[in-house]
Amino acid sequence: MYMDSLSYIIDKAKGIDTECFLMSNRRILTRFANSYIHQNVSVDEMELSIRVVLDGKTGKVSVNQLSKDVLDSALKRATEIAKITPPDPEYFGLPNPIPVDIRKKEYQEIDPETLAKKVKEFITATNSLNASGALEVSNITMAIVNSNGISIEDNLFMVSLEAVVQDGDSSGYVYAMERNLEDIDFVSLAKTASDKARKGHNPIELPPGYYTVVLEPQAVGTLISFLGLMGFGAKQFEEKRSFLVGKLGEKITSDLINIWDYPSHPKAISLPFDFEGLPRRDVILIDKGVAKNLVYDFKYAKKAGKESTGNALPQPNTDGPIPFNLTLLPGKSSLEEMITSTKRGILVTRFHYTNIVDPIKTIITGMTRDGTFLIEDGEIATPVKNMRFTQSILEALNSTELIGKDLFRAGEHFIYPTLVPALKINSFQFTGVTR
Amino acid sequence: MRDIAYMALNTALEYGATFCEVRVIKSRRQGINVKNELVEELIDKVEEGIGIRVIANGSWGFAGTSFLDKNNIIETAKKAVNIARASSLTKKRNVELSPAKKIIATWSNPVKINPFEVPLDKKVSLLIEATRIMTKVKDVKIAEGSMDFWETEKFFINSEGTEIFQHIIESGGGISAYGIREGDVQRRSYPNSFGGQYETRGYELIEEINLLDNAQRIAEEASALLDAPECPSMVTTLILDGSQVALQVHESIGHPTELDRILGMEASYAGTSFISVNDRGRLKYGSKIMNITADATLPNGLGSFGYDDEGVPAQRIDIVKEGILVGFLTNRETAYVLGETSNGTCRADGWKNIPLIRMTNINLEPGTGTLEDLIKDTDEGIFMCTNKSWSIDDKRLNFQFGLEIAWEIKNGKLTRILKNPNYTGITPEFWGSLDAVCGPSEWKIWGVPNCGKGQPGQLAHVGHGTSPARFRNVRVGVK
Repeated sequence: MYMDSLSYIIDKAKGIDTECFLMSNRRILTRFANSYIHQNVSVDEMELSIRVVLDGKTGKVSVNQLSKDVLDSALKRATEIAKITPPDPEYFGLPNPIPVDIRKKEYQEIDPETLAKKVKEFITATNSLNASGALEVSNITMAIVNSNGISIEDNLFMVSLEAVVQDGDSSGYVYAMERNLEDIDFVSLAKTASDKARKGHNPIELPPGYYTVVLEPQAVGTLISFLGLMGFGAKQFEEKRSFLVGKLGEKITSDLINIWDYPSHPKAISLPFDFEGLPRRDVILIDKGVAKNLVYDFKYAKKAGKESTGNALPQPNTDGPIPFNLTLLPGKSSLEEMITSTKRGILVTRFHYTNIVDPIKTIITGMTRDGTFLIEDGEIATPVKNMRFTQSILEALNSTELIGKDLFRAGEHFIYPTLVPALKINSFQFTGVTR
Repeated sequence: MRDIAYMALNTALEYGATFCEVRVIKSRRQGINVKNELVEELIDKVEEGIGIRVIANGSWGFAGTSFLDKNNIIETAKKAVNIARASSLTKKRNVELSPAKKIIATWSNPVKINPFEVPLDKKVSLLIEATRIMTKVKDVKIAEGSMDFWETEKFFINSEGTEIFQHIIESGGGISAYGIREGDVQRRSYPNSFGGQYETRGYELIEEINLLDNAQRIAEEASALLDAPECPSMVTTLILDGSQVALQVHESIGHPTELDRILGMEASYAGTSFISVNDRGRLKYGSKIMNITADATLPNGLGSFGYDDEGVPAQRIDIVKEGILVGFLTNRETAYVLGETSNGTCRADGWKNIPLIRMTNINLEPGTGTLEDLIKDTDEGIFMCTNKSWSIDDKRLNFQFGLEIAWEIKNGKLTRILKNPNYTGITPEFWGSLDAVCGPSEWKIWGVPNCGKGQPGQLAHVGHGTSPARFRNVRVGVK
């Protein structure tokens, strides 16, 4: 529905390197707390960006109206900006089209009453515990047209549920993101979170130190998400801000670790092209513990003499290419096996408010949350108070002993979701405890 | 703006809403990011949209759209009512709002130089020159400079007769130098990290912060950090610069005193609070010299405004007085729970989001003396500057902050530079160890333009008036 507007701009800017990028989202988010819906929002939004490049000088303007006057004015302003910005000596032109497998789906309309009923189902299944969370439906459309002939549009439909169930001083957490509302089992998720909340009363305090940990997938997702931020992008690598500098081709984790940027994975929820309109490709980042590859956008691929891996953010940007579909390949163990094989350790449901301490050493810090338990002699012995960890991700992955056999989608706020299994890690540092 | 706002309001009321508020917003943003003398990103964004929030069947509903034709606005208003009706499927009790005065007003912040009228090439040239100065320093491989400007026109009406137009201009800018050697990256920023300083002012802010005069100094500090020893692990006296005190206030006082968090309304996302409603007037938050205010009326603060997004006037309130918790940040819905009126902290991120309780300018009121006096008065300790990372638990108790640079203090003097400094603590214990706050000459309102909260995620612009402060017996150098 938007392609006419994009093509209009490209036609009007004839003879000039021009790219039009459009993203729209029809979103409903039903949010609940204290076991009732307290916020419930629907937004229809769209943003169109026009990028004009004159002899390597870039001008870009974004608008959210599509009238001819607005488009004409935006193109004119982008051109004026391009005229006064300094040229980029590393401008390689705009990318040419490469065939992309479009799996366009029809827009799915889900009415707010249906969502409210699902939330009610979740709340009811917690059996009077205190439920909080958000059920979100997104209908994203992305379209890119450039003056080199790229003309591509696709949409993505996603439903996600994130919820915390509290039972007094204890809580449990669940997260799910699927392509269809029907694929989320609200009752089962409510029971999972409720069971954990009921088991978490009267936590003991453990001293800081190094522990064996069993990380449930949501906690593993935090590690993998932050690893993705700290170094797989070609720009970070070139600027020597990546933990991979001097380590490509070297063993950096346990042999058990295989990490891909894996858009073709059957469970991946991803558009088939990136923000330049180029196909997203599978990239092996860590293979049996060995650092193998980086991810590229068009510019950094050209600089490296490679093909883009389809990892561009909207251009131009300060971050460079990043992985969008990080996947830690599964192993053979069940979560139960990880627990039963642990003499003494800590089971972590998820981490909270994690941040980077040292990107070169991949050290991050954060808190445990919503279900932290002491494991003794192969059994969950007692809940423990939330703890602060300060830990190198690579060192954690280097001391990984067991990898879960099932992949789960893990959400990390402000970062793309990952597909990850549970992990048993033999040495993991906790540096503090909260009350 | 007026016509479509009233069209939406009237439609929602006719369709069954018992309360309705509408915001029509036009906004413009310009962002310039320069790296190593090249413009890496230039953002020029114009947008408009309408947000309609209603109560129907005793529950909340909200719908927003950027498609502003008549039919779509009517449909969006009806959608807001339908969403509210859907919300009521899980209702426990009707939403009640504390009373608010009917207001007809306009408000704009004082601006000397409209940043959108300053030629773009002038701004770009300034940042290019700043990065050129920084990259000339040994080992500084990356130098960044940025400016951000926002202009917002906001028209607010509600079904109680309030009609407010606000025009707000915000500006910000800063520079960073990265010293890089194999296996080590050290950053120094001015006047603050993560984009610099932000205020509700015009381009005069950029002129005042004088990026060029500070470029050489921070580049040399970034270079020196590469050769500096690590911050030792120990318990010691800690002096924080004003910008880090601002973030400490933000994370460990601002967020936990938001009444929606205290009431569990943010439980699934950002978390709750270690504070309970009954703690007001009782909880010992910190030492006797700790006085915290929330003040949206301060000139130039990034959390300053005329009226919040429920049409409640900006206010100054006490949050902590002589170390005791005395106030919360409230909106109309949560103030009702306390039997009070809102203290005007409810703001939304643009037209597309509902208003939430957000910090305004949350301030540590000044004490006495200068930073120089404070260092002279300290026999042994560490002085840390400029935030690098932050993390705090979901109840806002256990925190850990990383900073860009520190200096060891020996016998009242700054001595050697220390790299990778950090400190950790528990909120009331840490504030309980506060034993000195610098005076008004060191006090400044630091702008935080990226305060995240809510689902869908919203970013708020907030401020913190702070000066350097000293804390005793703090654990530093967490490895």
